[in-house]
Amino acid sequence: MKKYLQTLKQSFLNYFEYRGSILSSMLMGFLGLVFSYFIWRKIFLENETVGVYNLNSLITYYLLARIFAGFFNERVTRHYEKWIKEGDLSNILLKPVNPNIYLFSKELGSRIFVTCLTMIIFLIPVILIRDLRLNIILNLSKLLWLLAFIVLSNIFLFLFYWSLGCLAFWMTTTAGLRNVTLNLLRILRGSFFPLDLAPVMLQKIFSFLPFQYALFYPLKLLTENKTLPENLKGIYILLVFILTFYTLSLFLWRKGLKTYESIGN
Amino acid sequence: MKNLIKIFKIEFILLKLNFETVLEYRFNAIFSFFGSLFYNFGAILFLSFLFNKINLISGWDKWDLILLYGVGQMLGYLYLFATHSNNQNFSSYVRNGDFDIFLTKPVNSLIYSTLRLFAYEHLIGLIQPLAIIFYAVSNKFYPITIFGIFISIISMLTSFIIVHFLNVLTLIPTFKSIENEYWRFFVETDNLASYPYEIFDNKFIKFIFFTIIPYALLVNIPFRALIGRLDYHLLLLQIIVCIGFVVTTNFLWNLAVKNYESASS
Repeated sequence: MKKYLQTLKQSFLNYFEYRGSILSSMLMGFLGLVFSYFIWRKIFLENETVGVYNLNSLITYYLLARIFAGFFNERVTRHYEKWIKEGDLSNILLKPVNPNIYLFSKELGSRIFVTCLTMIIFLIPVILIRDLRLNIILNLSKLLWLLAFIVLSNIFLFLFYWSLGCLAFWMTTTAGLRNVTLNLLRILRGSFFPLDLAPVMLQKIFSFLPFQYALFYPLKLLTENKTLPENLKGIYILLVFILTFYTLSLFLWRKGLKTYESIGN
Repeated sequence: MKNLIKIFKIEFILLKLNFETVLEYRFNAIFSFFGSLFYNFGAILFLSFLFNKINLISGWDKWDLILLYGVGQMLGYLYLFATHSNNQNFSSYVRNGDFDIFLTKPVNSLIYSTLRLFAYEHLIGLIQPLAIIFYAVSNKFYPITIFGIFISIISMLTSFIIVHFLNVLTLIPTFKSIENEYWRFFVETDNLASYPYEIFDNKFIKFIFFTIIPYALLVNIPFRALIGRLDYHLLLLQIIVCIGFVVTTNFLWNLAVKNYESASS
């Protein structure tokens, strides 16, 4: 356990080295959000509400969505691809660590760093602009549910990207596949648009998939009151998919290791 | 003139070399195609859901917005084909000292270093915006003429030049602080270009988005030329802005290159 915690800490600290690049990337993201304000301002000048949203609640949604976007992502798949294609996996297999837990800790360190930095950049407007702040309703029970969703959805996302990463054992590159999942998950998680703008039928389908619990649902938890059965349904779906993807990833990993051949030192 | 011919000859060779690479990674190209298919699917879904809740945006209906989005994606794919990969690699040229190579060649270093990697998979992806345009025009009548298409293409190429030089402007700080991701500016904000320019209703904001960051012109001019609703003064403005961008960027580039200190031996 100690070695994984050390990996997490090291990864977190390593990110300070790339702070310029991360900070500029986030600033550009923030600028993107500022620019989209012009579109929404015009829409809400002509319409009082869009679905359940007004200008403030929609801007709050997109601001918070950026923070949740810092969760595990296709970088995990890229790491596996790099290990497999460049032969780094041979070195890692020789180390007294579980490669998957090692990568989990490493990525977790970077995700914590990115999320903290995003929170600083994207929460400033939420704190400074009174109307935006009003859309967030917080209490202890909500915070605990939020924590549960954050932890479980991140475990699920890691397993999901791990299973994709294992495909690098058989594919030349996973770049295209990563692009597919990136854009598909944008829709399914609710980072493209709030899922409650979709027709009720689609919303029902989305609610049985685990992806919305990694962004849309926890975000709604912050701004709305959710019932106990709704929260439990989300947790249950996440647990089922965690179990499914854990089994699938482990199967692909073991099968892939048998086909893996390394050349060089 | 001689220099221009030389640049065209080199660019042609680079185009050919990059095409051979994409053939090697053809499965990846197919996945990339599907990746952007999901992105476009998400965008069309969003517009459809939005127009289920509202009627118009600044006097434009759903099909106008879908057509505008399709034209915007044409520009987007041209950017992804010719500019995006170069942006991603630029900081490594400067960091590793590889940029020196571009300075030793008897060609314009701006063109040679920023237009050398071509992502053909995105050129194939141009089918998608064409399909989106077809989808819009098959649902609503637009008085499209050959002359309109011609002006639209001219305007689209002008937009591409503006976008490329705007991107080069975001690359210039790399000479000073190697570690930055300002090049993400266009990727994060280009969404704004695919909305009617009437959303900019304030004089100051209008000035910014018609000249300094000319997003009001990039997609709207080719779109309006296509549907026969173009204000030709704005086409002229687009050409003037394009010349302005080329001159300013070249000036700043030369200044930055003069102060560039090689990192290599």
